[in-house]
Amino acid sequence: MRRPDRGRLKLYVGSAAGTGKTYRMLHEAHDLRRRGVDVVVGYVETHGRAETAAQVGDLEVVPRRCVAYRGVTLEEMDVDAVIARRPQVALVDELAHTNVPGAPNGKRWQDVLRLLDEGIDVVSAVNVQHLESLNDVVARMLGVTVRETVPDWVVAQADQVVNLDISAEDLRQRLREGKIYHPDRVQTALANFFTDENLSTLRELALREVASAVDRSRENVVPSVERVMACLSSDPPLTRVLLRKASRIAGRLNGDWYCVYVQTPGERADRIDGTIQRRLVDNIQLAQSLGAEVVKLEALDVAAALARFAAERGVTLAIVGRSQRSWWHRLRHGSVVDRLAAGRTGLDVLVVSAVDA
Amino acid sequence: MMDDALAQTFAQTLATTVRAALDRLDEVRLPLHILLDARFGELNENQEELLGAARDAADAIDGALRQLAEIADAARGALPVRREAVHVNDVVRAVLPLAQAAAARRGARAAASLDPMLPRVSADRARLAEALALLAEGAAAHADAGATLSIETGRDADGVWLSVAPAPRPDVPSAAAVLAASLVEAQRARIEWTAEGVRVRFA
Repeated sequence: MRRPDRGRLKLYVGSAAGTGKTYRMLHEAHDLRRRGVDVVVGYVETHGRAETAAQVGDLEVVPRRCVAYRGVTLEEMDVDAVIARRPQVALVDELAHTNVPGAPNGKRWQDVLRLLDEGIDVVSAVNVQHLESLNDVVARMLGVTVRETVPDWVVAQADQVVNLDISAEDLRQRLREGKIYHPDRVQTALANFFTDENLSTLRELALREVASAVDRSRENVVPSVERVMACLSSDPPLTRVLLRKASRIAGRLNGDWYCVYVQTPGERADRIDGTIQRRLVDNIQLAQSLGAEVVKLEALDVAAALARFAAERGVTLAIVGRSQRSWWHRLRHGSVVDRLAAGRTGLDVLVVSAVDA
Repeated sequence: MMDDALAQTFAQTLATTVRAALDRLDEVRLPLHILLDARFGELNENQEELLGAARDAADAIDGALRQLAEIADAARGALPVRREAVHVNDVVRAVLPLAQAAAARRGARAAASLDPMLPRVSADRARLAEALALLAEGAAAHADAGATLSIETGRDADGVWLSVAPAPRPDVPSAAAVLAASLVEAQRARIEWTAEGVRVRFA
């Protein structure tokens, strides 16, 4: 049986408690449900905030796992129950949370990885001071030791990171209005953690971290489920159609795509017709504008060069245009398409028509 | 060397003793968790620091004991294994970020070279991922700054293989390495240690 595809992670990052991460997650959940997406609340922490509690509304909440110890009842997300329920999307608040001893995983981010592994999309939230790499920075700049941290490689796995930016003064105002903590904690919070200076520092860290998290996730891209290669020849009339189709297919597969041009000795710049050369340059620019990584190879045997490139880069789908060569030419010299399709198992070959559908 | 019956008894005793110790340890971890959750009022900075350090230590002991319990379970054939058709490359991709983070902590880097045409193998995906994570962390611990921790997959006449390099030093006993080997062998795969690294061969 085929395993379901890995779920996608969307992460709300805020500079501090009270920036509205949970509220936004819940708002998004209602939106998703209206659009027919099966979404559940795996775990949401309202912190006693009325606005947030009201925002849960009639969303389906997976019952929590309760652990009783000497008269104290602790509640955790029941990760097995969420998996058994198999929603399309689960909301899981407070990514850095440490689970109750005895839970299947020590940390909530490990629960989230398990949900993703089971093919469930997750929307989660974390405050920037909980990122492991910022632990020292936060301790040095704010004088606060944060014990609950999330490894940066987990954050880098997020498919989408959203920074909920709010000015320090607005956040302090929300705190004063009792929208973040219980009134009896407000003055202490304003005097200690929620100072203008701390909040401004955290805000800057959040903005910087979101930018670098996105960069890191791009750098760390490993071969995805599908990698697509559009095979560009110097002058077929349907190259632009081929490139657009390749771009759309790669987009649907959420995969990387290459535009590969194999230059044969007869197509060297000093031998190729000027018009064809210009058209080739135009096509390469189009491929780049559509998000392809353009690769030029030099070889006598086009099919072999393409097959070798596909094997090296983990390409699973080759998209080629229908050959414009005569039947006689294909019979004598062989078709690149036929040789690609026959040459390597694991490489699907899609032959596209000239119709840009 | 112990005979099989004695080894079984030893593994059984070890498993039982370790589980009992883990249960008692929860009696320490739960109160620490509750106190750090500020259930009985806000903690001052010093209280939080002390309790946090105690929790970290208790968690570390818990982790070590769990590794021992798994080794004992594997030794007595009691490790639950859920076999399915697994793409080894998918498992590597899932573990690679962790390996990269472990390597980065040593000033090294981690890279994967994956054969895209591997057939699926019969394995327990979660156990295989756990074993690979342990092997990668072990390799990272022995990687020099600037070196590359390498994870490769491939296929030869003997079937599909997965390798991790560099190898842990054989003179440094490691529960993690023993556990990784136990997890691999529990799913009928074979583990081979060489000077360059470690190779897992799938049946």
